[in-house]
Amino acid sequence: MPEAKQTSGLKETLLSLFLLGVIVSIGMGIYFEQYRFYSALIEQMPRKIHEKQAAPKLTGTKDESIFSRLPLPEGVVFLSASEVFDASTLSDKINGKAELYLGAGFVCLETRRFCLKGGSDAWMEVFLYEMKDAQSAFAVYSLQKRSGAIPTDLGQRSYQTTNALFIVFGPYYMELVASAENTALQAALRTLGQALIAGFPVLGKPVAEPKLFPPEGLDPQSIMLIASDAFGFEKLNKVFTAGYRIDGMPLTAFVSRRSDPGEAHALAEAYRAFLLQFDAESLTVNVQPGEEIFAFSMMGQIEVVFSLGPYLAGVHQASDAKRALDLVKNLRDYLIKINET
Amino acid sequence: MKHNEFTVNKYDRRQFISRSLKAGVSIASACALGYGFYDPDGPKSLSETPEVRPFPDFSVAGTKDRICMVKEGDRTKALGLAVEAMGGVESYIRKGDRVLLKVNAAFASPPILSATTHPLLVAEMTRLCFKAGAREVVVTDNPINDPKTCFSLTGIGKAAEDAGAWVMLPREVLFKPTTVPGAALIRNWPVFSEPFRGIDKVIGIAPVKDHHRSGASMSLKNWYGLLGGRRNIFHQKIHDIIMELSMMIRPTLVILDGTTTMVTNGPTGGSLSDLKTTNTLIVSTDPVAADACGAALLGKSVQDLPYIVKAEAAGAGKADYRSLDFKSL
Repeated sequence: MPEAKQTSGLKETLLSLFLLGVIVSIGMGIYFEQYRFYSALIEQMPRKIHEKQAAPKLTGTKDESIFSRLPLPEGVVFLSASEVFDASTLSDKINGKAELYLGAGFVCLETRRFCLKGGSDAWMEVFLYEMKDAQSAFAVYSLQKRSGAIPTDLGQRSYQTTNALFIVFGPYYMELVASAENTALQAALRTLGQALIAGFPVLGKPVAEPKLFPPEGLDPQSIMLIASDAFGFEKLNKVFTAGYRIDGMPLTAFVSRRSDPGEAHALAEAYRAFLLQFDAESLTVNVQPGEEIFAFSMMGQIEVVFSLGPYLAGVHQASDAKRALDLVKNLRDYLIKINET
Repeated sequence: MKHNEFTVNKYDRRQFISRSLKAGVSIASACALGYGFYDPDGPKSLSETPEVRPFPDFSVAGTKDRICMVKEGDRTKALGLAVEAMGGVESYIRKGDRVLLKVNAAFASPPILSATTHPLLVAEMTRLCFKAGAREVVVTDNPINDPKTCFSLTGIGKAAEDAGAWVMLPREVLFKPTTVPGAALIRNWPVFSEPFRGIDKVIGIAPVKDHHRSGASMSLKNWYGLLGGRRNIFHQKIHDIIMELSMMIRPTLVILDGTTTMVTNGPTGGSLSDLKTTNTLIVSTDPVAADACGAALLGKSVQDLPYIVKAEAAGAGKADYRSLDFKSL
């Protein structure tokens, strides 16, 4: 049977030519564009994409920024516009310190510079960090705490140095830094801090764990929260540490509240195994029936760990076994007392 | 039977097989062509030839292995003493030289926080360069924060301009794709290299600081400011990237300012209580030696800072600075 000849009309021919033209144009576009490939641009693409995502809670636009809503204290004026940084851009502001915040539950940062009306060249910069929760904020506050700082009554916890003020309130951590050391700037930092805190009426309760440490010999200013990888053990997170001085000897106690007693017990066992892995030598501890306290000597230092209800606790890197065990006993008794009340 | 535009084709078996074969060959050819174009390694370069080691060796012959540590609280005086002890500025800067000062202007923070290069050192080094007959002095950095604000608030911009230097702020066109031979990280990466075009001498000026990731930020970490793109991804391999930067650039001199050392909460600091008065200035032709010497100001040893060990292993200098021509004033 002879093959029937296929015919097409003018419309089909024109349509086909148009489609072929489109395909050829796309092909030519790809051909020429490939010579313009720029890897640095590709590297920057994720950031640009990220910038288009939903604005962080703190700000978003300049008008919505905390600092723009702030009724400026008398005598203080804005020196610069607000800047906002999210997790992908935080290092653009604080470089290598970004990991400290990111590891602790960073949400976003807003910064702005201020100066005194009619003042000299001196200025102030406020860094307002929004963290995941009050514990995260406390972690970054406590880990950077300056020694010899003077506590103040601002926020839930705060301290000042000769040119700066550091405040934690709810999930917020704030640093107010002056470019010079003088009383006028110090006063302005305090006023600014007060005004900012007033802008956050609902903050929730401050972190309660610092109250888990027995007061005898405790340095209240030394309490810190290690958000992750505490003592080099990756499973150990949310660990509060506190400095003690007993008979003139410095000691470090720690407490971590877990979700339930089972988790606390399992973590104590895991930490024990972790220490043994590094050739820690087990020490004998006299305990009451039902008690389980693990003590070790490792590279000349004493480590003690135990679990009690939902708490994992102990003493870290003590140089004296007797004082370490005395502190552990105090800590244990105190936790029992707190649990009862 | 009437068909509109098309006719219904009826094929015999021979025609069917023939057409099927032709279609199969066409599809196979298209696939083969596509496979031929397929590049499993992906695109390799920004341009036809990636720029390899764009920085010439800026060191001056006969000045190798020199280091001087001055215990002096006045930066201007300390720099003068150190440079003089190392043979005088004329040993490094010749008449007609174009000199680039790579400062650390990373943050928009005031000089009192010691997070950035102190303006007094920028001014004095510029003055010394012109005194030696330099034709031009360029001061530059690619800061983390807004460049204009950084150069303004750190005081570096004014100090440089008042001393007659020219401040070069980073712009996109000044970054060029760069590959450091033997490097695993700086491969086809945008580097702030254009300011170095036509430059005869390079001097790095950096403060001594604690650093949350690398343990310290000194002379070698100062070259990090030459990286463009999303350089923060290198924080995960901070010691390796600093080592590669030490391979990338061989400066004429480095000036390490430990007059006030940021001992805690680096690299930004923020409080004067993060600082410690150490009244030390180190000048060296070997940045590895300078950093090894400066580590002590942070209470650290070379072993505490793996990037120094790596940079030495890469041949960028010697960590045992006392084995060099070491002068202590």
